[in-house]
Amino acid sequence: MDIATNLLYFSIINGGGIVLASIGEWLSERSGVLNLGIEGLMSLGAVTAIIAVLSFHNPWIALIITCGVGAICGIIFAICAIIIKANQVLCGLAFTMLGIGIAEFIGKPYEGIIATEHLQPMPIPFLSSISTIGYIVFSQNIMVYLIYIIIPLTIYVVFFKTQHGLNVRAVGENPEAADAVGVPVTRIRFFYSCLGTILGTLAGGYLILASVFTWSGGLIAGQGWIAIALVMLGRYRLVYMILSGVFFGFITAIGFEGQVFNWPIPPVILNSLLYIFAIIFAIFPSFLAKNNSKKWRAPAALCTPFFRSNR
Amino acid sequence: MQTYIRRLSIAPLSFVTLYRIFVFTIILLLCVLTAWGYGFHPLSLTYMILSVSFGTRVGLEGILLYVTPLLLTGAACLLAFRLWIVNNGAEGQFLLGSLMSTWVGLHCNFSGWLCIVLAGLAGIAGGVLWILVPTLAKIYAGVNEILTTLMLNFIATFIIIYCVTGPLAGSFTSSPIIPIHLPLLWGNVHIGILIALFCVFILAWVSTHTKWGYELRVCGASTQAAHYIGLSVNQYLFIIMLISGGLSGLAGMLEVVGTVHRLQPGISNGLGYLGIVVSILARNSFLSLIPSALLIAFILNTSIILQTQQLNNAITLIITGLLLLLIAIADELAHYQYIKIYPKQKEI
Amino acid sequence: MEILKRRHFIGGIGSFFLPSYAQAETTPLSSISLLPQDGSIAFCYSGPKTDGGWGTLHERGRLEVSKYFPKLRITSIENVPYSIQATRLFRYLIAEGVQMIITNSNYDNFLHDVSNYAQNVSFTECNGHITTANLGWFYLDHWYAFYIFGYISALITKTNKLGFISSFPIPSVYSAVNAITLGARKINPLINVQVIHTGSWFNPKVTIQAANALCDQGCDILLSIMNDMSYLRVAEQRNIKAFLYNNMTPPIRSKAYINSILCDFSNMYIQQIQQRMNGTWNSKPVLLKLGQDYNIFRWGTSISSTIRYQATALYENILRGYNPFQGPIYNNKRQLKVTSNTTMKNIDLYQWNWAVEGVTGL
Repeated sequence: MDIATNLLYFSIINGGGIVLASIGEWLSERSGVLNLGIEGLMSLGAVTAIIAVLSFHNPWIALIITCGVGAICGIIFAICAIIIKANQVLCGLAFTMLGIGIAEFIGKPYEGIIATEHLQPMPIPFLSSISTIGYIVFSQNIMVYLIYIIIPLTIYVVFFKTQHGLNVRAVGENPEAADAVGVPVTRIRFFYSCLGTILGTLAGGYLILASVFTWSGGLIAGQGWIAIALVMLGRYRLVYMILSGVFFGFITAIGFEGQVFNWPIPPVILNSLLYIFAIIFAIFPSFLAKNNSKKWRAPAALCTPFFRSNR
Repeated sequence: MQTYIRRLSIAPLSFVTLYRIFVFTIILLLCVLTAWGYGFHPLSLTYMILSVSFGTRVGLEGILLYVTPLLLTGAACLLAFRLWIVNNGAEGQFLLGSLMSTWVGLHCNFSGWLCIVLAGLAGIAGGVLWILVPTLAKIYAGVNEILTTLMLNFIATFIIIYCVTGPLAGSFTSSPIIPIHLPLLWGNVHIGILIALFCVFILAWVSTHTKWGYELRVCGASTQAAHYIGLSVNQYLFIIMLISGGLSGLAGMLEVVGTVHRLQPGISNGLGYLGIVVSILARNSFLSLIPSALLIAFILNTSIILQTQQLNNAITLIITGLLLLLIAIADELAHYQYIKIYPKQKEI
Repeated sequence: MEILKRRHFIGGIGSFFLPSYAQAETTPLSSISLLPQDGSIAFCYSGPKTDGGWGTLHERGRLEVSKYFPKLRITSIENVPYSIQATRLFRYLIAEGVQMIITNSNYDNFLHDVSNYAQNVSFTECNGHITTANLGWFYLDHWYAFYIFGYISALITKTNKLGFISSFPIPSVYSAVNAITLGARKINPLINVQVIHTGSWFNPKVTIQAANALCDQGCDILLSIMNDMSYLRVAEQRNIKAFLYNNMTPPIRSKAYINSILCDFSNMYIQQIQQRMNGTWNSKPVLLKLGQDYNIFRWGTSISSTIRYQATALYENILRGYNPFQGPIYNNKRQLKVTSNTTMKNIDLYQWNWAVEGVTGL
C-alpha cells in the first residue's frame, strides 16, 4: 500500500464531511434560503456525536442523535429566517457563533477523550478486490457510500425527475410565481432548510466518527465555510461539488506530508492551501462564467424573504 | 372594527428601541439562569462582575482597551453595510494590519512620532491589501464577498504563524517586543481610543454632512436610482471596501503598538468577527457605535472574569451569537404594526 | 463547582485598592508576604483538563494540593490562550486576590508582564525561561527519559525511522528529540528521527494528521511531547508502536503502547505552596529528577522482557550518575558543537537550541 493510495483513501474520508455539509447547503439554497450557519452546525454535530458515542458506544445511535439535534436547530433556524423573515445573513452568522459557542461550552468535559467506537470500513464484496481502486473507493465505511453515491442520486432523482423537485426549484427561482400556481412556498422552504441543517449537523458527526475520533475546540476550523464555498464553486451542480469535495479532502490529507518529505514549502503554506484554493475556485469560475452566466448562476430568489403581500 | 398587522417598509425608531430593550432583558435573564444552574448565586455573581468591571482600575482599563479595536472594526463593518456588503474579513485585515505595523516597528531605525505614523500607515496598508482581492473579485466578477473575505481570515492566521516562527521570530510563538509605544493616557490605556473615536466622529460627519456621504446613501438605498442620477456604484463600492479594510488594519496596528507590543497568532481574539455584531447593534448610525462597542467590550471583559471563576469562556460566543440572532429577529419584528380600521358607517 | 463566597470577592476587590497593584514598583522584593491559610491559588493550563495527558496530570496534582491544604481556595483555569487574553486573565486573578499563580506551559512573556506589576504575588511556570524575583519555573529532566526511550526504540524499530510529533520548535522539544536521537544512535547509527511541528499543544485533529503523515513516510515508532494521546489510535490502526508523554494511567493493554513518562507534580506543588505559606518561597527553578520525582516504567504488555531488562540496566546506570550527553556531539549540519571530554549539564540541556545529527525537520 503506497503513499498515494493512502492519501486518496484519506482524502475520500476527509472530503466526506465537506461534501455532506455542502449537499445540505445546496438543498437549502435551492429553495432560496442562504444558511451561513453551517460552521456552527457542524461543530454542534461533532460535539453531539462524541457525547452520544461515549454514552451509548454505538456510532449509529450517535448519528441518529446528531440528526435529531440537527432537526431541532433546523426548526429554530427556519422559524427565525423563514417564518419571522429575519435577515438570513445575520441569522446564519448568529448560528455560526451560537453553534461554536454551545459546542465549546457543552463539549468542554469531553475535550480530548477518544471515541470508543467509530464507523468500521465495510468493503463491498467483489468490487473491493480490485487492486487499488478497490481499496480507495470500495473499502470505505457505509457513510462514505451514502454521502458520495446514495444521497446525491436520491436528490438528483427527486429534484430533476419529479414534479415536486420542479416545485422546489421554482420556489428558489421565483417564489411569487410558484405561489401563484399554488405551491406552498413557506412550507417547502421550511422543509428544505431543515433538511439542509440536518445534513450539516450530520457532517460534523461524520467527521468525529470517521476521521478525527475526538473533540477539541476549533475542530471544524472553517470546514463549514468551505462547504458553503463548495456550493458556489461547484456552480450548483452536485457532481462538481462532490469532485471538488474530494479535492479539498485531498488537500486536508496532504497537510503534513510536505513536512515529512522535506519539500521546500513551509508547512504553514500547505496548511493554508485549503483556504487559498477555496478562494481561487470561488473567484476564477466566476470570471469564466461571465459569458454564459445564465447557466451557472445562483437561484434567483436566494436570500430574499418571501412576502405574500408583495406579490 | 377590523384589526390586522401591517408591515412598514421602514421600522420606526420607537419600535426598534422597544424590541431591543426586550432582547437585552431576555439575554440578561438567560445569563442569570445559566449562572444559577451552575451553582453560582446570580446576584452575588452579578455584583462581582459589575464591581470588578467598573469598580476596579484593571476592569475599566480592560473595557477601554477592548473598545478601541471594536470601534474601528465595528466602523469598518458598518461602513460596508451601507452598501449591503458584509465584511466578514475584518479579522484577517486586523491581522495583516498588525503584521505590517510590527514589521515597520521592528525595522524602523529612528524612534518617535514618525515611526508610529509610519506603523499606522503600514497597518492601514495591510488592511487595504487584504481586502483588495475580494473587492476586485466583487466588482469584476460579482463574487460573493462573504466567503472570499472569510477565507482570507484563515490565510492571514497562517501567515502570522509563519512570520512569528520564521522571519519575525522572537521568543516562543511571538515576535520580539517592538520598540515603539503609543503614548499612554491613563494606566495601560493608550491614545488609540482617541484615534478610534476620532475616526468614528469623522465618519459620522462625512456620512451626514457631505455630498459624498449623501451620494453614498443613495447608492445604498437603491442601485438603480444611483445609476439613474449618474453615480458609479462600483466606484463607491471600491472606495468603501478599501476604507473598511483600512479601518480594520488600523485597529490591528493600535492593538500591536498600543496594547500588546508584539505579534502573536492569537492577537485578534475574534475582535474582527465581533465588529459585525457591533455594527448590527449600532443600526446604521456611526455615533451609536460607541455604546454598542462599550456593550461588547463589557461582555468580553465579563468572559475573562467568568473564566477566573472557572466558568467556561465559550459563554461569550453564546451570548454574542444569541444577541445577534435576537437583534436580527427584533429588527424584523419592528417593521410590523398592529392597526385597527373602523368600517365606514353607511350613509342613510 | 465552587460556590462564590461574598468575602472572596470583597476581599479580592479590596486587595486591588491596596498599594499592592498600583504602586507595585516601589514594594521591596524581599517582602513577599505569607500566604494565609485561606488564601487563594490559581492553576492555569494551556489545554483542557481532560486531555488524558499533560493537562490531566497537572489537574491531578492540583487535586492533591487541595486535599493537602483544604482551606486554600484553589482554582484551575483551562484553555488559557497564548495571547493578551492570558495577560488580562492573570491581572484579573490578581485583582481578585490570588496570591500564587501556577501555569503549565510557556507563558513566558505574558507572565513576565504581569509579574512586574504584582510583586507580592508569586508566579511559577512549567517550562519557563525567565527568572525574576517573583517568577520562577519548574520542569522535569525529561531528556534522560527520552534518551532511554530512544534506546528502546532502536531495539524495536525495523525501518530505522522514528517519528516525533512536536508542537513548536522550542528548547524542551529540541532536548527531547536530541535525546531520542542520541539514545537510538547509541545502538544503531543508521536511525533517523523525523519531526513534525503541529503549531499547538492540544489539537487532536492535527496530531492525528501528523501521525498519519509520519506513518506514510515509514516511521514505525511514534513519540511526542503533545498534551494529548490521540496518535496512539493511529499507531493501533497502522500496526506500529508509540510512546506516550505524561500519562498517569497509560493503556498498557493496547498493542501499540510501549512506555510512558509518569510524572507526579503534587509533591512539588505542595512543597512550593508550603514554602509560600512559611514565607520562604523564592523563585529558584525546580528541576524534577528521574527516579525521584517521576518515573518511566509502566510497560505495555506487548513488550518483551529482554527489552525491559536492557532498558532497566541503562536506567540504573543513569541513576548512578552516568551522563549520556557527552561529546563529541555534531549538529545536523555536521558541525562539531560539543567537543569530546565535555559533558552537557542540565542547564545546557534545558536550553538546547540546535538539533543533533540524525534529526530531520527540526
